[in-house]
Amino acid sequence: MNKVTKGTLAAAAAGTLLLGGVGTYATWSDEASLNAGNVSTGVLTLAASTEGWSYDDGATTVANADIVPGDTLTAVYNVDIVAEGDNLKGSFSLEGIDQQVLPEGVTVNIAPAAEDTEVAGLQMNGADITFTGNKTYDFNVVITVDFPEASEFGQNGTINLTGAELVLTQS
Amino acid sequence: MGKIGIAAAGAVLLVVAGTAGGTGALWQDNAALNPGTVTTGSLELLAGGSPESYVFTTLSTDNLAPGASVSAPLALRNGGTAEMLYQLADVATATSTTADSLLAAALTLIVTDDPVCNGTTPESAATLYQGPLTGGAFAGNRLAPSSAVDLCITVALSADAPIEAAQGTTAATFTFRGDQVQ
Repeated sequence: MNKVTKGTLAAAAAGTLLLGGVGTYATWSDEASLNAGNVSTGVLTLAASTEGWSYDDGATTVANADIVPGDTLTAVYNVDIVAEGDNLKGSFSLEGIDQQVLPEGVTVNIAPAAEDTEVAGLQMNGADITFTGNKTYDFNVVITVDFPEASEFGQNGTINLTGAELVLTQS
Repeated sequence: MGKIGIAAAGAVLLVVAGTAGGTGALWQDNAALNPGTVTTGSLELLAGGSPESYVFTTLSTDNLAPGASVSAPLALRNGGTAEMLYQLADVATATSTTADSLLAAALTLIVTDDPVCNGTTPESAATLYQGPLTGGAFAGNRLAPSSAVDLCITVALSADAPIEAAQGTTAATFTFRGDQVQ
């Protein structure tokens, strides 16, 4: 055979192999529907609001407060928590206040309001508030800035509350 | 195999890093309180403008004779931000000789709120204390922040002071105290 004939036979053989390769994908298959429906993710949100801060004997604004031993500044915050989720649990806390840099004797505290010490689904142990269950919570907490009467120091100090925040954390 | 080995190691590192980052991802929501800044007040009693020791030179005198007296004004000021009750807590007299002690015992103290303080006490002035100099004290009076009261301090030598008190010397230390009003 001459060179032209050899090249034609080689090209034809290659084409045959490719055709044979296409045919090897044809196998049996079947399907079974799971029909699992829709799954949704839960929700965890927090909102808080207050009527303002006050002394025990009258209203004031924190920006004008110049406290002395024996004073207590109080704010009642209404807290709305939406906790939707089958296995959702977590904690609620006051953050953003460095107790170490407060004037001597001054403390900033959080506690459930007197009327809200027992809220279904909430576990309250002083400032330690946790929740479990799929629920919407609406309750009040009291945040206080305490300057005990026995304090002899802490004059001309600053209590920076600008970074204070309520934090809701899944656990 | 060398390049393949490096690529495989890189892939493992990526997987490990992705796993570590995922462990901290739980939900959290915050609500800022934003109440601002609170300050603490101050309490400071200034006697003669001094927060600590004030040398009351205007009350010093020499050759005080029986029946004579010396008067000098003393300003007490509330230099703090809290209302206070000021009081004369004590007067101590320092003595070292018998004459000193007899002199101190014969001295009387009169404290009024007369701002003129020229040696004669007007009827309108309130007497806060009148009695022996040593141990002199009076109870608290209110003093608002940044306000002052002018007291008149009079020290008199009793007309019947014993002759043994002559040439005696005593240094009186007045201790004023301010307490926060609640």
